[in-house]
Amino acid sequence: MSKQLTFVYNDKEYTLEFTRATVRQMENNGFVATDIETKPMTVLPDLFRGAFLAHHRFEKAGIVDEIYSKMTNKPALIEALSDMYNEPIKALLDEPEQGNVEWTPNW
Amino acid sequence: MDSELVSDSESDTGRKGRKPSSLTEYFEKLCPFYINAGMTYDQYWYGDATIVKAYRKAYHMQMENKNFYLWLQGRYFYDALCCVAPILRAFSKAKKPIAYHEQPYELNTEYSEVRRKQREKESDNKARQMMEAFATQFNQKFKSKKGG
Repeated sequence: MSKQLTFVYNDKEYTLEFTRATVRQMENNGFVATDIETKPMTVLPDLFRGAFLAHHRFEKAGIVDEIYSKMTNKPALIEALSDMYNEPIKALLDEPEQGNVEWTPNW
Repeated sequence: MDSELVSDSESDTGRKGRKPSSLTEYFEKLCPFYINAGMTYDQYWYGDATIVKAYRKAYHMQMENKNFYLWLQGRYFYDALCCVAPILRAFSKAKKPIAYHEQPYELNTEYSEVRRKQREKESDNKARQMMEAFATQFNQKFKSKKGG
């Protein structure tokens, strides 16, 4: 099951998700994923709009922007949306059956 | 390539004048593979992004099965050749080919377990019949000795 973000706004239930088709559509419209690292706050609104394409393609842009302006905890939202955006590509990459690189977090 | 360093991947961002590779290009490149693995075009592009994992695993399992069946076919063919080889040899005195397997090879499946039990039962029955025949014969001999 792919990662989805759900919420209710004005009594309407929304499900945000990325599919390969929506990622393609976003890239065709000029979206560059690597910009998330350099200018996250500029990219975030586009990423947020793109997440509506899978299930709410015909939602008015004004409503989407309105929802975006009311979303809380934007840093966590960036993280969640980037995770979701990366999922269609991550699923295509082979996971190693058994890795041999050990790692340690510093916190 | 093995000699490529992690830092070399930056060349794909356009620093060396190459066009940056997009996710779309990668998706489009892999689309035929997944269609060949049994996914529909709509499932690949519009469906749950993670379904590809199951299809990829299933595809590899299918390849393993196919490989096994081809190998098995080769073994049966080899056995058949070995059975007829004596009569095909020039100046051979053999007039009949060696009999081919009565049963197919036993695979490690549920069905082969049923077949194994059936064979064991048949073998047990045969042994019991032989034992009974021997006992009857012995008893008759014993009776005749006693009587005589």
